[in-house]
Amino acid sequence: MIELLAPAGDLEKLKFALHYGADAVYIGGQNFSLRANAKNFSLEDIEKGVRYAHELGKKVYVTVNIIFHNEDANHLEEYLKKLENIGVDAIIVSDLYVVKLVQKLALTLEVHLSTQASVLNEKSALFYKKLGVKRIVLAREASKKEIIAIKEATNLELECFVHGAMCTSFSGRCILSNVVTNRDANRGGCAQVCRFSFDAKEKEVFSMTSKDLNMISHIKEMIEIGVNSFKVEGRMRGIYYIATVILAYRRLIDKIEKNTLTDQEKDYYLKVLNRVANRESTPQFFEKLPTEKEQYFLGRQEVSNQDFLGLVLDYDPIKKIAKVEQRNYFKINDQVEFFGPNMETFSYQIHKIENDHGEKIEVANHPNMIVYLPVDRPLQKYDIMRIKLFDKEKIL
Amino acid sequence: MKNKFLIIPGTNTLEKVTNSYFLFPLKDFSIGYEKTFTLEEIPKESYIYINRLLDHEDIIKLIPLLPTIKEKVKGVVFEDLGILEILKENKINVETIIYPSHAACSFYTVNSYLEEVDTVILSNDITKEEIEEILKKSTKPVGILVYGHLPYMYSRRTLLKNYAQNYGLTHKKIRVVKELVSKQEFLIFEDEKGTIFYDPCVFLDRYFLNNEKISYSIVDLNFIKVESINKFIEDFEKQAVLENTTEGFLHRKTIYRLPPKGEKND
Repeated sequence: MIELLAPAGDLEKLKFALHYGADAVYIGGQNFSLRANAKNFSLEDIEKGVRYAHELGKKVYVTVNIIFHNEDANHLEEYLKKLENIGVDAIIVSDLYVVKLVQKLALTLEVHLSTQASVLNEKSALFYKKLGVKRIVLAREASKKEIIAIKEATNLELECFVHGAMCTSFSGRCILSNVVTNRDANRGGCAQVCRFSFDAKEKEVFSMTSKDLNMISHIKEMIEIGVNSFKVEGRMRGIYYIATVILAYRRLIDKIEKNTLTDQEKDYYLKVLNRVANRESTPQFFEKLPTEKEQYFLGRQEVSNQDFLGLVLDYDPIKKIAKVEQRNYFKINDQVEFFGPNMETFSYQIHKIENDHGEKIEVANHPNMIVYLPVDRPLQKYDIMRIKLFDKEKIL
Repeated sequence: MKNKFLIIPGTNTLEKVTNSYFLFPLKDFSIGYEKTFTLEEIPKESYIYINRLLDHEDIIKLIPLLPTIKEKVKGVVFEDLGILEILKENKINVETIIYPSHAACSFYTVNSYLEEVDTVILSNDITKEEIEEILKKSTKPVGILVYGHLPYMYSRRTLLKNYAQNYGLTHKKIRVVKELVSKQEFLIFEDEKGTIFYDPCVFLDRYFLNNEKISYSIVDLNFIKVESINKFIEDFEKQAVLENTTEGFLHRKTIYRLPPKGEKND
């Protein structure tokens, strides 16, 4: 089983992630989950998400991954029972208490061990296997050697992060946020202090920001050594990021499985992913220890991405008109491209824009305004219009 | 109940201690310690400290040490649960003490660990009241750090080496840095296996001296020079004034969730 696992910060993102090719999504409830300050899912939304995913034959995992303080565990039993009744496919946990509680309550919930537990070796994985854990989300520090050893010794399902932000520390082994901002990192309040500026009293101030993770070049190898689930980080990310990243990995994994992936295609997906990211990305720990080249030293070096121009809400195949919701400024004569899960990305030059009163306009400059574009090639609801990134034909 | 100390000696001269034991950071398997010890260097009936998260090669290197551990070591303090698995698999009958850095913050979690090990060292990022509740509700006695630099972050990256490489500076394996907004300083120590951030002030907690639910009080003399370890322990128990100390999170409750705009958090 090869699974592409996407983050989903709310119901809309869940639908996009699954629509764009994820086999499963991981979500956080309003309690007991890291990313405590995100919108997160109510139980009602979890139920809706699970129903939606199951209708597509896909899965939903719910994070119950805080480290509990004495007062935090009220209603946990009740919550776990509700998750079981809803039919979530697994919970992702890091606190040993939750692992054992699932056993004690004889719940049928499948338990996945969170990366917060930082499992790096086969013996640690075996410890958790004996407690009924079905899957380990390995530490992001796990190298190829560790993955092979853990798979061979345990035959557990292994889930690895393949894309997105990295902690500077081992996950769960940092309370800089607690110290500097009083926000508890291990209960979802991480303020990312490692990305702040520090003075070492020697040279200019510096940060310890890690570049992002990007495993595009190693997916085939990871499949061969037994990784089962390929996880994308980013429950706080928007739909454009989710759609772009998930579609790139979906296409890549499918082509690897069919043995049709070319180097040119790999380069293309790499370019697409680099464009959508707001930081540079590298494979980090997979083959070697990260050096200074895998870090930023001068504070936040993040680029705001405004490639996302519009979301297709509808398409009239007879009139060949796309109804598009604007997300960023675009105008007549712009070179753009459409992409979606059920078509090949194609380029398009905007030659006519009408507003929702049927009036011709030159620019789409209001957030979320509805416009109509004549597009000859068929589109579907939730396809995306973005700035033309590269000349795909030239790369391929 | 008389306090039982586990003393991490740092670079201080070893002395015979009574009703207490030395806890030796094991060379190649511990992180963040100025002085580490091989099994050959430690006296019998000592405790060893393995605070690194181990990778596959570490596991391979640890296995041949097991007969000596069985022979010389009274107990193992560890973070990686793989250690527990190895000790059980190989029937190494030593005292097992887990110190899961920031993951033993509730009596629920502590009692879960206590089903697997002999004792648990509580996390250092909880309040005095939280410790009191844990002591009240734990199924067995537990340990706490009572003196030493609080570790705040553990990275597998060699952050100081990377910093030096990036700016063409001489690599120092220990530095003090200051975060610019909060002005909070950190003592950073690095070796080839990673980097630890410490509080440069020394943590001091004497609230739980002689408490019957405390199994061990850890005194960590890493980076701290004392005239005599025995004298230090004696002074510590007598509540002697110890300078430049902090109470860490003992009176500082961290925030779980940010309050809605306009509201104050408790």
